[in-house]
Amino acid sequence: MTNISTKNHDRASAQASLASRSALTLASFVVLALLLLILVYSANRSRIQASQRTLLATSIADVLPVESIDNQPLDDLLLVKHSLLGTTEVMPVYRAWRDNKPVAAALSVVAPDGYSGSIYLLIGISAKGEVTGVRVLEHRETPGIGDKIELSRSNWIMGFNTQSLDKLPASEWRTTRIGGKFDALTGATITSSAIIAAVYDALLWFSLHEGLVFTKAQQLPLQ
Amino acid sequence: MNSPPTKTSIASLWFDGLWRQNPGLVKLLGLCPLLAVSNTTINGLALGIATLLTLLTSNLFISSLRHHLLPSIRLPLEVLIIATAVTTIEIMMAAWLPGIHAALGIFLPLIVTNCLILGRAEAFASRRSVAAAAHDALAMGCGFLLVLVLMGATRELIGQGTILSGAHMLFGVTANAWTIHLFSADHGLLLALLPPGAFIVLGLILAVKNLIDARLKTRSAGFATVDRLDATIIH
Repeated sequence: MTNISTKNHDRASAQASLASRSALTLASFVVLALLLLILVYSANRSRIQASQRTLLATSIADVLPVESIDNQPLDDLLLVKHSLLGTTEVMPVYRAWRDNKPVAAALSVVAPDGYSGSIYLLIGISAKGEVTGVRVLEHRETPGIGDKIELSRSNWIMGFNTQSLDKLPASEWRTTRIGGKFDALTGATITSSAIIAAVYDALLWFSLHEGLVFTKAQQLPLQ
Repeated sequence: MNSPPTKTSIASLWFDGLWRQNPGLVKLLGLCPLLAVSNTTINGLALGIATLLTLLTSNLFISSLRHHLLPSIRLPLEVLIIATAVTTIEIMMAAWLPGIHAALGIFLPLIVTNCLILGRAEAFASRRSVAAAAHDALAMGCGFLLVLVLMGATRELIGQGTILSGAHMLFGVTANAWTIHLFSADHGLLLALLPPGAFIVLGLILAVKNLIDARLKTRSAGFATVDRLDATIIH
């Protein structure tokens, strides 16, 4: 009897020591992996941020009249939240100035009703309320059909340039098929309509908040 | 699976990886990224390289630690090593190749879930020498990469009439000139770029491979039976 119980006891303690050895090995490997990742990330963080910044700066320069401004819009942003911007998230508005007078603003907005989910847009609007440029930042529209909203695939997106609420009444901000002013991309009416509506909403938001956009103090970007 | 470690010649490791046990065409492992990211040559190449690097890192680490891996924690440790390797590669890509990092999107972190990598770690690297594990990783990784590039090139050519479009994302601005335009994108067969096209192209490549294998088999019937026995034992 005693013999068996000692055996059991031995086996239990052997199992316990094996378990604690396993746990210790696993824990030390987790710590090692964490340290390695922290090291790799901190070594590359500034480069990752720089490349994201370059990407954003290029898009902003595409939608704003860069030759007639004298500040860096990327560093002069306002954080706003409004249902007209297509999302409940806080979105950045980048402001462009010349001699301390407002020239234009680039709005980051979402067209929530694309054919395959949200389409992220950057829309440039001049102080007079005219579109200075629209670019698609991110989308998942159908390759070959809906992706013609990218400038690299067709220049459809340029059709918004110089349009404004003054030039076109609300009823004309739709595709030609339903009596509007804008051609829909062939086979991508939903995609086209989503972007037309998003640009209209952005112009509307801008006209309602223009005073605020160019008077409020600059905010630091959220990290 | 539990066969004791055996000596395998390097040549046969490479033949397995590139042809006989090709992860993309025979084992059909990692089909999700294979089908999703093979819409252009460059995307396929980039994901292939990332997968190859992950496979090499994980096989090397796991093989060199194989005497210290207790059976009870071997699997979680392998997953930890693979996840660390993938995260490191993803951070490096975000820093140095932002264009391709954006193009691959979620499929880069998803390399962790590619069963090819855990499969090679568990079935091969955890019981073989470091050198054999390195050759296995390189062979299997190259086999997967070649299928990705072949599918990417085929789909890109049929779908939009180009090869190597977007090469600048991987090789810098000078690579813009590498793109070969065979015909205008308007005349492309859109289906090839869409998910069904991926299945069709993979099916065609599989058919061609099986055809070649069948030809080889009839040419030398004796060797072929040995090959087939070999394959069943490994499975």
